[in-house]
Amino acid sequence: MRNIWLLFKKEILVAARDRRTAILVLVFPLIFYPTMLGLIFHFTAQNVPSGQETISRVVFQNKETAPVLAELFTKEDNVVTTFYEDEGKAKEAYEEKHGDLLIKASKEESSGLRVEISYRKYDQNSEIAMSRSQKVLEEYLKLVMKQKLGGMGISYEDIKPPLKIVAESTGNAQSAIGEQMLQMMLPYFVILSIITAAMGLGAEITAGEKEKKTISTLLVSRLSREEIVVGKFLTVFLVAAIAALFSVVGLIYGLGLFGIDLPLQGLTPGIFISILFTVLPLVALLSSLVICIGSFSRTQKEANVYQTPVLMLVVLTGILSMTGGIDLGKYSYLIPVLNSLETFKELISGTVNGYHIGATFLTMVPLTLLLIYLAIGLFKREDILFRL
Amino acid sequence: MNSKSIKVRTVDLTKKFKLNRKETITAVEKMNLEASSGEVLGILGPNGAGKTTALRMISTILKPTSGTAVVEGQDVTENPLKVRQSIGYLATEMGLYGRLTPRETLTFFARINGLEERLIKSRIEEVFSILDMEEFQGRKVNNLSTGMKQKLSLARSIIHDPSILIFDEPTQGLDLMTSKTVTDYIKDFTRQEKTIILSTHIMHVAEKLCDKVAILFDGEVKAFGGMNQLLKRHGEESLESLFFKVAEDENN
Repeated sequence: MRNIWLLFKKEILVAARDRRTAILVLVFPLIFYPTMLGLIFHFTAQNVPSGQETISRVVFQNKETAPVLAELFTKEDNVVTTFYEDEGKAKEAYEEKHGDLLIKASKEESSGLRVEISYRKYDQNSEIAMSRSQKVLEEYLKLVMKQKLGGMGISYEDIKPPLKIVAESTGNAQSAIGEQMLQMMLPYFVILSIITAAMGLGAEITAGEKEKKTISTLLVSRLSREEIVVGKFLTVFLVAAIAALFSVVGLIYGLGLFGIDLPLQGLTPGIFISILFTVLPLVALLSSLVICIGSFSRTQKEANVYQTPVLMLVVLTGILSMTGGIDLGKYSYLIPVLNSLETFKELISGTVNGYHIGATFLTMVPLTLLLIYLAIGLFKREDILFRL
Repeated sequence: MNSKSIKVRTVDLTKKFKLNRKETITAVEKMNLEASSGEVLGILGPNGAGKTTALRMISTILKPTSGTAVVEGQDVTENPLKVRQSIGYLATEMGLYGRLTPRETLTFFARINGLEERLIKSRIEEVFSILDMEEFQGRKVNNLSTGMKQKLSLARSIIHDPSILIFDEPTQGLDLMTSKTVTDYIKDFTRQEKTIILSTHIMHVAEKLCDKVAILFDGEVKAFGGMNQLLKRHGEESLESLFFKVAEDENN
């Protein structure tokens, strides 16, 4: 243990004096990421329609078929309706984004009027226009019902609908972004900070030792191969963990400067400890992985080449998790990295699932130990150490 | 009768490297050498003769393919850790940590080589004094000259006061002044009854320092013995002429 501690202290001292470590551990998480994200979301928030102020543009084709409906659209607040008779021209106007919504009215034998609506699902303006058009259509339906019921001698008010739905939108763009940041972006940037900090340092203290020919001096000392590997692993682990912590701090305070407040009230001490149980095994796994890769590599450059697919895999997993592209149900929590991200997201939103936390911990810790064992094996091979 | 005890002995020491599935090269073949306390054993040979490989096996960095070496009574294959406790190793490449100062470097290596904590500070001061390093002890290694780095490298190998020193090309890349400084220090170590095994291809260094010489070609020891004995046996007047004679015999 003492030898591991001695090596660890030396490695930390050398790493602390490396400009690259300072950039990856301090500058990126504390300054670069929050600034970049803050600027992106600051300008995005300014463009997020708040609902009330947005003017919806409706392209209405075939006004003569539905004059009453057309009139209702014309009278609706915050809606500007443009009428086309020609179907092609109406479609063109919608596709060229001169309209948020395309309404096509046509006669239908069974119902009398057929209304086809086209809108762009992931376009916020289009979604608002759709919501307003639904309101107009409800009003139109009510009018038609009143007429038909009146024809049958029944008053509409006598058959009031049994259900009234009142929906109210709470929050604003800023708080919506804050929640989005917390649940999606924070885990992603934490993992990015971990892997970038681990990669650079991991390559230097393993492959770099061989490249700079300092390895022999360690091998003739009283340090065993096991102690050397464990000492280096702990170094990378600590630096990567600090990078993760700083990325959290940086995002919270940095985004706050841009007026984006992360909703942290749900983060109790219990949840914070659960987060540690989720993130620290991830730090350990990625640290052991870069140590293993570096132990195999002859030079730092070679280590960087081998690390690149790892980085891409981690980033891709992060993106898919962030966008909700992976849905493997319970099995998500058995896949390293993915399980950590998913559990982290849950914990941030205040959901504590013991199975998920346990599965995350129990999949990553054995893998970490296996990778350390492999790295030790590589350190014992002369053909790998000296690339003979 | 030689009253000096044998500190290092190799017995049919052999090292083979597998280049690929079909090809194996023999770097060192059945090497039999010995060195006693207070003696300097020089291993001479051209580049690729197997000198570094031999020294690496003796210092437990590489495992012998067959045969063995015994250092201070400990077998390098059976007790490598015990062997390392008695040796100090100076590699050809200095292999220094650029962001540490000489003081930090020596403190680290003193500790990992088992020097007691209470002795470290005084020992470092002693080594600084011996090797004239006080002036640059606080400067980062990246900012040192080649000569300073070589001194530090030498200091690192002796900081824990080992009884056996293994130097691989100790004057490689050094100018004449620094080279003389290093060879003078090596001479001093022998007065302290330390056993020194060094490799070199520089004849005047070997002539100046070595009590015993082993001439290596293609991994095999072609000549071994006390300097004067060897010269007499082969009828040569200088080590250089002896070396070329052995090389000629080898070519023939």
